[in-house]
Amino acid sequence: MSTLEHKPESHHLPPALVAHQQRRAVLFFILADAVFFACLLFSYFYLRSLNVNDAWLPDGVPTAATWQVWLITGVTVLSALAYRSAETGIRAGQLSRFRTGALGGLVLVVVAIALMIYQAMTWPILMSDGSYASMFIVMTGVQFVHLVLLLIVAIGIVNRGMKGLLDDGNVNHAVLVGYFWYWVALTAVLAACTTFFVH
Amino acid sequence: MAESTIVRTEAAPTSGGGIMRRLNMWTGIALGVVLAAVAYVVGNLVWGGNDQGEDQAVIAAELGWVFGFLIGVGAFVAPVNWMLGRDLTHDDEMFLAGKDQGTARYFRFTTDHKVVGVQYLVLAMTTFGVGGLLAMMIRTELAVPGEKLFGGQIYNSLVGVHGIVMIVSTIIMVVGPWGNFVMPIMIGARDMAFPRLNALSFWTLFPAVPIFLSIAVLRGIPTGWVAYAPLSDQAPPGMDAFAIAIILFVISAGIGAVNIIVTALTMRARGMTWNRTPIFVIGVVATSLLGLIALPCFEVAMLYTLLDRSMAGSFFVPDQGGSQWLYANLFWLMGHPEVYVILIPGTAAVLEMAPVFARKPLFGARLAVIGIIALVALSVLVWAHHMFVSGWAPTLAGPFMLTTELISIPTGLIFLVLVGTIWRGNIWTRLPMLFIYGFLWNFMIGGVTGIFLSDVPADNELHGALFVTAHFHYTLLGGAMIGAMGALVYWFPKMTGRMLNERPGTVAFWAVMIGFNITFLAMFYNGLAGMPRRVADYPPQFAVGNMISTLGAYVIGIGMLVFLYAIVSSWRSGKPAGANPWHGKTLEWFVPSPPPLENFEVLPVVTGDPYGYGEPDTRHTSHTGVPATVGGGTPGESDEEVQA
Repeated sequence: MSTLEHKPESHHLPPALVAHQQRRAVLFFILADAVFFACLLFSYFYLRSLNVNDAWLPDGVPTAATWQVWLITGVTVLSALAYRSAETGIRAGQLSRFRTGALGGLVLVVVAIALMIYQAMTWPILMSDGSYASMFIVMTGVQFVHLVLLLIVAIGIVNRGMKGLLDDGNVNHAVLVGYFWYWVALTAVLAACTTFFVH
Repeated sequence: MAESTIVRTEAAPTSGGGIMRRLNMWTGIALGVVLAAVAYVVGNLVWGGNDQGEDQAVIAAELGWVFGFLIGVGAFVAPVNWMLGRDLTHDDEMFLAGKDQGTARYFRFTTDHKVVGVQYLVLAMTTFGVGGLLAMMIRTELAVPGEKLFGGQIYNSLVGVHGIVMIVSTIIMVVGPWGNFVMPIMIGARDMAFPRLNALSFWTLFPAVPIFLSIAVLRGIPTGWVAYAPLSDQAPPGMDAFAIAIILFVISAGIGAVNIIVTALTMRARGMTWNRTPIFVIGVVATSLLGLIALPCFEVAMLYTLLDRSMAGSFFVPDQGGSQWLYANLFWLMGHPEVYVILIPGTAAVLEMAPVFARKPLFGARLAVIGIIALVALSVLVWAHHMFVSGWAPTLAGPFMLTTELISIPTGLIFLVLVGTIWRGNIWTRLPMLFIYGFLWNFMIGGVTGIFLSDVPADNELHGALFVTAHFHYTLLGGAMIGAMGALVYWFPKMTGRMLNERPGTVAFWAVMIGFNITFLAMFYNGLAGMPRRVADYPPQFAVGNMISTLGAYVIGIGMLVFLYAIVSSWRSGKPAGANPWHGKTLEWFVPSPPPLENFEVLPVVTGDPYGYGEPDTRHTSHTGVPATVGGGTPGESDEEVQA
């Protein structure tokens, strides 16, 4: 008769497998979000092409300020680039570079959110001003939700970096946050390009 | 197992420390109710004077309920800890897994996949009960001509809520209970890849149930379950509840789907190649992937509906540049894949059971896998057949008719696999086998009538008739639901450690089967005779058929009550099952019934086909693994003979 001594640690999955699982999971979540986002893009172009009752953009209804859209998109992309630098740093074992880059990215996300709030307070359209206005506002709203979620995970990863919970042997969470960050930047660019096609 | 003794050395989780240990379903409900009330009052104060003020206040209240509940049940404890850089300890994880908590673990944010499976089963049975009760009310109204019990508005709400509750119930009825309870054990894993996400998936769905029920007090929905615009824009605030509940459901389903997919992709036992993976696992993974890419379309449609209603949005309002076709496209982009999200798990469960009770290998197993994959692929290319009569893109009717007819090929393949497995088998006629027969009969009728409806001219004639209602009930209730009931009987011993009493179970089976066929064959007849669906009243020439349908529905209801009795009584005091009462070869039958926490002490190794019945030299596993502890059951006597 043999005796198997059970220790709790023995049932933990190997870190490499956990990292592999987490990366796949985040990619699948992004896939679901991509379908959601694709539905928004489809809706935009579909309603624009139908132009039901000439009410896609009724006479007298202005369009949203393009410079605001591109400014917010630019800041979001910059934040992703800053985080990319941070991620490269942590992979190379440069914890200070990670902290600087991630913190910079976080600040830029806060700036993007602030700009978006300013945009919402100043834009000249309402939901009821035709389907262009509705689509523009909903796409901006979804992007706002993206940025708020990004802010939460960015605070978390910066805090973990500050507390020394990340290093070059333990970069998985930094990579996962990166996946989402780059996805949010990509959707910002796609949304900006889409809303560029007004008429 | 007999060769080893297991000594557990870890300490029991400590009882103190952390708010996490004080949170449960009741704290969730309490906080949810408080936040809902606050949000409603504030919403009324802020928006009360607006045109959309009532909708905005209702939406605020429903969101308050959801966030309050999730905070109160402890869903955000781990994410907040992660943000603060305080990872959970092993004790915390054991507490979350429900270790040594008895029945209290079923009312907490418990991460053990078996607890989550039981929670899903109870929730699905409860929602089925609600949906079934609504069906009885509908059939009672339709028993004789004239609006006898309800007005048209209430009747429409009954139909709508019945529809959506049943759709959601049928989506979760196999993947929820068995995808969580059995699938990880089947692949030789100790838990799901993400146990906390598993619990989050369930507890995100839970608050959607009261929201669905709140439709009744918010003056109902006049739209049917499809919630077509512009009716949905004009509906009372029940529509807001409907939309929020759907969004919650989609989020819950997405979280669950990702977990299931990643678990199956990364945690299969050593040696379990895809060729050796049980067909049920493949079915559940395929379903999860399909749900993951299809359901967000519904989420977007519901988001637009909420914005149209609460912020005067223009998505579906033609005067403002919106289009109902946008809704119809988004809805059916989800709606047809959703049929397969419902159907594939029930079918896969039947395919899983068939070799066990035919005592021979799964005939053409690869064909079954190809069939499932083809169903998933084709199901996203057929949505517009639901819109043949809507006037949308008439030139596309032909291509969509073709893709819809094509989908009958993989469906036929699966049917062939099932018949081929039973053909000349050494049939062991136990209760699950009856459900396999029932599935074959109903699914055949549902499938064949579907081919008629894929044809554009036939669909133009039948689309608005009861024929369609009968068709999709044969597919979803007669096919998927009967498969799910069979799965419940089959895995009941593994879940509870007790056999389901087959005497009342058999009575229930025959009552449901006979009642079901009476109800819906009569509905086919009335539909062909031209009776429209979604009506509370009808001309006298349809009276006989409707009375027969109603009587059949009552027989189904009686059968379901008997089935419920069989489940409850067997769960409480059924005959002990042993580990392997069906002499199965897949891994779940090599752990005790019910399985212990973490399932296996030593993980199993897979060396062969899971369906080598009647082939003396084949084994699914050479090393059956060692259960973590001997839990509520003992390995059955049959284990030895199965392996021999």
